[in-house]
Amino acid sequence: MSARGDLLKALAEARPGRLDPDADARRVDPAVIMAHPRPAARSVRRPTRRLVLAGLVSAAAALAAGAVVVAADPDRTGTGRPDARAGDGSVAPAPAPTDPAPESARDLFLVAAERSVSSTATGGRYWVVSREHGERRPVGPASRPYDIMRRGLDEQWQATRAGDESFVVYQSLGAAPIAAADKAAWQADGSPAQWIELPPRDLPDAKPVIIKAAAEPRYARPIQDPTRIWTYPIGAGDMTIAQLAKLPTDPKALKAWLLKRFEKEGNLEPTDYSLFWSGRHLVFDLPVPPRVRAAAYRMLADVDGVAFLGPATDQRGRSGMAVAYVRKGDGGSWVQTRLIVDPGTGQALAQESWNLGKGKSAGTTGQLMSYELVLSAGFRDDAPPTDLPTR
Amino acid sequence: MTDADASRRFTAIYDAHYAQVYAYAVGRAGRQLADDIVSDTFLRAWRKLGAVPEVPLPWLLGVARNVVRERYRDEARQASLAAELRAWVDEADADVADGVADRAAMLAAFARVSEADRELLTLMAWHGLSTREAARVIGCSLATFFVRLHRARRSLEKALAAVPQVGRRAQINLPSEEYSR
Repeated sequence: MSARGDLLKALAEARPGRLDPDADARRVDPAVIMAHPRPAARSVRRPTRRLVLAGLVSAAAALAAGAVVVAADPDRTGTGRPDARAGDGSVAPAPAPTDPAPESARDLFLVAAERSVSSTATGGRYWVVSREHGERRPVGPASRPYDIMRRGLDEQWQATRAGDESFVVYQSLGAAPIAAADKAAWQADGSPAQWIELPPRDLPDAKPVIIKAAAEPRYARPIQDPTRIWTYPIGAGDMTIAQLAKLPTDPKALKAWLLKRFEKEGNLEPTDYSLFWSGRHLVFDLPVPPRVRAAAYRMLADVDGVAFLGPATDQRGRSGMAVAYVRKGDGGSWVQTRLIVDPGTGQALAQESWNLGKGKSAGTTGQLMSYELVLSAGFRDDAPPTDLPTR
Repeated sequence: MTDADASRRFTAIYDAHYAQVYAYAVGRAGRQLADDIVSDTFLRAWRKLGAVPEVPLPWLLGVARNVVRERYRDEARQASLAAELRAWVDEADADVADGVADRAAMLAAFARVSEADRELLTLMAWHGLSTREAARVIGCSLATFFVRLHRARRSLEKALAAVPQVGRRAQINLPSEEYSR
C-alpha cells in the first residue's frame, strides 16, 4: 500500500472510542421523533449521484461526470452561444470606445467596478450561468505522448422561488489534439476517437474516465443537495445565494470579511493569492449583487502581485484585457492564473490557468492548461428547457 | 407511503445509522452537543423521509453538517470541540496497550489541522465513506474533493512531523518525497 494509504489507515486505527455512544447511553426513542408531524410527501426524484459542486462545476468534474460534446472542432471564433435565450445575460460585448484603455491591473479593476455598479440586474425566476470549460489532458502511448483539450459546457439554473427546481445542463464538446505536433502524434497513434484515463492508484472506487473526441448531446440533472439549497464555495467554505447577497459593498469591509473567513477555515495559501482567488470568483460567476461585484473589483485593485497583461482574447475570441497572478504550484511548476475582463461591461469573461515551466523564475510563455468562460450570467424569467434527457 | 410504511422505514434508518451520525456529530462538535445534533438530524430525516435516498448515510451526514452549521454559535461549538479533541489525546495517552503512542501522536496531530481538513479525513478514515459519498456530504465535486483531500493529507503529515515524540514506538513513516514531485 502506498504511503498515502498508510496515513489514512493509521488515522483509522487511531479512531477515538468517544465517537461511539456509551453502552448505557439513553438514545432518543425514534417514536419521539416520529411523533412530530410529517409534511405530505412530495414526489421525489430517485437520488442519483449528487451533482457536483454545489454549483460551481469545475471542468474536470463536469467532464468526469460524463459531460457533453458537440463537435470535435467546436466553434472557436465567434459569438455563437450554446443557448440563444439570453435573458438579461450580462455578457454582451459592448465596449465603450470613448474611454481610454486601462493601462494597469489597478485601472482595469477600477473601470470594471464602475461598469458593474451600473448594471441593473436584480432578480428573476432563475439565476442562470452558462459556461464553457476546457482542460488539457496528456494522452497517447508512452513512446509518443501528446496533449488534447477536452471541452464542455455547463449551464446552472438555480431556482429562486419555492416550487421551481434547480438543475444543471451539461454538454460535452468533445476533445481534440491541441498543437500541430499533438495532431501529428495523434495521427501516428492511429487517430483514436476516444482516450481512456486510468484513475489514481490509491482511489479504490474511482473508475477509468473515457474521453470521446466527438461531442455529445445536452442533458440535464436536478440538484440533489440534502437541503435543496444551492451553495457556492467562497473563501474556504460554502454560502447560499441569500448569504452572498449580504456581502459587504465596501472593498475594505469585503477584504476584512474574507481575511476573517480564511483565518477561521484554516487557509494554507498566501493571503494575496487567496484574496485574488476569492475576488476573481466574486467577479466571475457568483450570483452577487452588482455593488458587491464592484466592491470585489475595488478590493482586487489593491491586491499585491497582480500583473497587467494588456489586451487579450478568450478561447472564443471575445476581446478584453487580462491580468494575471503567478505562483509556484504544488508540483513545482509556475502556475499563472489569468483573468480576462471586458472593461466595457465590467464582466469577467474568462479565467485561464497557464503552466509557465519549472525554471528558477516563471517563464514568459507557457502552456494553457485549462480555461473557463462565462458565456452568460444573470437572472432570467423565462421557462427552463424541459425537453432535455436527464441523467 | 402509508404511515405504517413511513414508521418502519424511519425506524430502520434510525437503527442502522444512529451510531454513525453520532460519531460524525462528536467529531464536529464534541460529545456535549452531539445528542442534540443527532436528534435534529433525524427529525429532519423524518420530516423529509421521501427525500432520503436508498443509501441514506451520505445524505444524513450532509444534513448533520448543516445542523452543525446552522444551530450553534461558533464559539460554543469550538469550545465543546476543543474539549473533545483534548479528551481524545488524553484517553489515548492513558491507555497502556501497545501501539498507543502512535495513536496519541496521531490524535494530537489531528487536533492541529484545520477543521475543514479534519472533516474530510474523518469522512474517509472513521465514517467509512467512499470518496464520492464524502464529496457529496461536503457538497463539492469529486474533482474538488480530491484536491482538498490531497491538501488535508499533507497538512496532517506536517502536523504529525511536528508532534513531539511521546513514546515507545517509531513514528509512522511518511516519506516526504510523496509530494515533492
